[in-house]
Amino acid sequence: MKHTKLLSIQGLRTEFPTPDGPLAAVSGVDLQVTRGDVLGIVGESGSGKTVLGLSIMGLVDRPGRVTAGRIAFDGTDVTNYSEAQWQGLRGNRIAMIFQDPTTSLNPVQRIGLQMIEAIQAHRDVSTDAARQTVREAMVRVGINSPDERLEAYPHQFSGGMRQRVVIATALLNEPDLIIADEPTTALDVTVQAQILRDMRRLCRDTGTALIWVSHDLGVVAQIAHRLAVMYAGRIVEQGVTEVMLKSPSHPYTAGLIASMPANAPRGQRLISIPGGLPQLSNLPKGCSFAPRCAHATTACDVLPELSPTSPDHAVRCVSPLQERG
Amino acid sequence: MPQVIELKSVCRSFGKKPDLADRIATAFGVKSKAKLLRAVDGVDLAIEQGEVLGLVGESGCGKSTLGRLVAGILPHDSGDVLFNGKPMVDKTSQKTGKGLGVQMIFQNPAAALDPRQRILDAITEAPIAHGLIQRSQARSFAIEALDRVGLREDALDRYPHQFSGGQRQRICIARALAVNPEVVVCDESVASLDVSIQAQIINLFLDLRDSLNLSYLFISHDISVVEHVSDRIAVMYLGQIVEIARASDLLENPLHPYTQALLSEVPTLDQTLSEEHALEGELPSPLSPPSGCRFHPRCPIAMEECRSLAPRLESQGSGHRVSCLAIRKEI
Repeated sequence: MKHTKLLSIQGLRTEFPTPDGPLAAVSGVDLQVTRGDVLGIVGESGSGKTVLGLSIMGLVDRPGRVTAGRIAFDGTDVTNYSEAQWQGLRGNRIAMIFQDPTTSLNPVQRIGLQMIEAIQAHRDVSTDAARQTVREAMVRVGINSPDERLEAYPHQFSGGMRQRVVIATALLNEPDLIIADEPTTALDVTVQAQILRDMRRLCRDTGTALIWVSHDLGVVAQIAHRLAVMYAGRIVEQGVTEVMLKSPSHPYTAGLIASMPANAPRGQRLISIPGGLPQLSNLPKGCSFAPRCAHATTACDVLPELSPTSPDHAVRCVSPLQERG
Repeated sequence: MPQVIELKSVCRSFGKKPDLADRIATAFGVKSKAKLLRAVDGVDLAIEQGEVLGLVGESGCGKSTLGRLVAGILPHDSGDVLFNGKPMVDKTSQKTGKGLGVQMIFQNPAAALDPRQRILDAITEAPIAHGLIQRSQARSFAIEALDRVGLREDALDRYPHQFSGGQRQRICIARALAVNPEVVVCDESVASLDVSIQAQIINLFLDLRDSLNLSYLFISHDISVVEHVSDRIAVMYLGQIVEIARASDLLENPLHPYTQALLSEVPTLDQTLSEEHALEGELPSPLSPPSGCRFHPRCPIAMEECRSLAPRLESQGSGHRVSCLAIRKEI
């Protein structure tokens, strides 16, 4: 069962129409996720990482839509699924965890009821049986005295506890895939570390595949086996986490790592990437990163393909950085 | 080094003001039910000239309130806030002078700038109002101010929405520096910026300190950022400073169990997050802080007396001060 292809994305393109023509928030994305895999998607704001997650879930808000490419989940093409078909899949076999747990929960419904509803929407089980499943899920994410907590409303929980409730809800139907979009960004480091550990353990125990979307390389490094770095809607580099962090091939990945204050001597200037993020409406011709890149040449005027440098490493750059030491 | 900012047992609480019913109840000896949130509770702190003092802690620990007290935009309840040895001007009342010496830079530059004000006006409004420059000099003054933060003259006649987040933060910095402050309070000033932009702004802060001899109070939840910019670091927990030391001392030899836990939980690229939780639970509600040492319910080395006895900040030599009963015992 392990290492079978669970999610396969080819040439995905998600566009939003604007008065000046369509804007491709995600463009030409190829991704594979196997069972039990933890994939980290890293990018800055506007890189398309969130829209990519929403596209996989069939949750792109109109008028935005997937205009090209194919998404196959467990061997089935779900690209053109109807809303009814999606509802059978979402919350059941694919679950999503969003950044802000407050908006994911219904403020006027008791936690227990919301969670039981999530089970009964997909399975014909008695409320008592569902309650038992909910109780077990709460304990699994480290919420003690679940019986008491099930009767509480979301506002009676702290931010970290609320996110645990959301994670427990996502786990209820034992999904094959969880997409987590910045799930710890709103939390304190201590709580973030607790949730990272819990998720790492839960995925290992249940064999659930996880896509962890974040802007924070340090967080993703703790949990992901593989990394995909996005820039301006495209994946610019993907590979095994350790390899990518030690010897990044794309100048943007290298720049991101160098910009982290933890990687520079104290009080010294940081190595920063000059310039700002490009606007999707006004992307440079060719490589989107070229205007900020120290290694850019005229060869960068043509958009490079995401091409493999080794069996499990690919980079979208005409002159990838040489492996160091 | 002279101290530009000095805080002496400063407190600040938030809560409902007693209304008539409360006052009558109190007069008749009934205990008032109104809860006070002691956001900053007896803090002693000093910032030396040209120094960057980092302040870290979890959300709700009172670090932003402390920043506002230092900046003088929030009055304190008791204790002393001194700027260059004199009591801090209360900026919330119009009468008591200008108090331009301490300026503040906030987390969200989009909210800190008036969307309908041109950049030229945003930067020159305060110096003109306080008579630092003449209106006729405004343009050349603003060009100089923008140049200092790495923006060009063409920004002057534009509006905030025409800039990216990083550029907007540069504008906020230019505006804060326009009145020649000696101290700048940065409250999560790089938290909303993307990683690659964050590095640029941190570099700008470091450059400006060198060229203008500024002192900073640098508040952040991100320890790796604070670690990078600070000369000294103070760790705050539930309204109190629990440890303060030179940055290198604090990071290499953290003494307080809370500091130790906090440092071990920071995600880094070397993937060293251990399997064990370094710290159980979450920050207790500041409305009803635990008795004794406020950290004792989460502390791995808590002793019996920690429940009842509140520790004080005590020196461990070379400016390293810790507030922990267990540490005191060892010596």
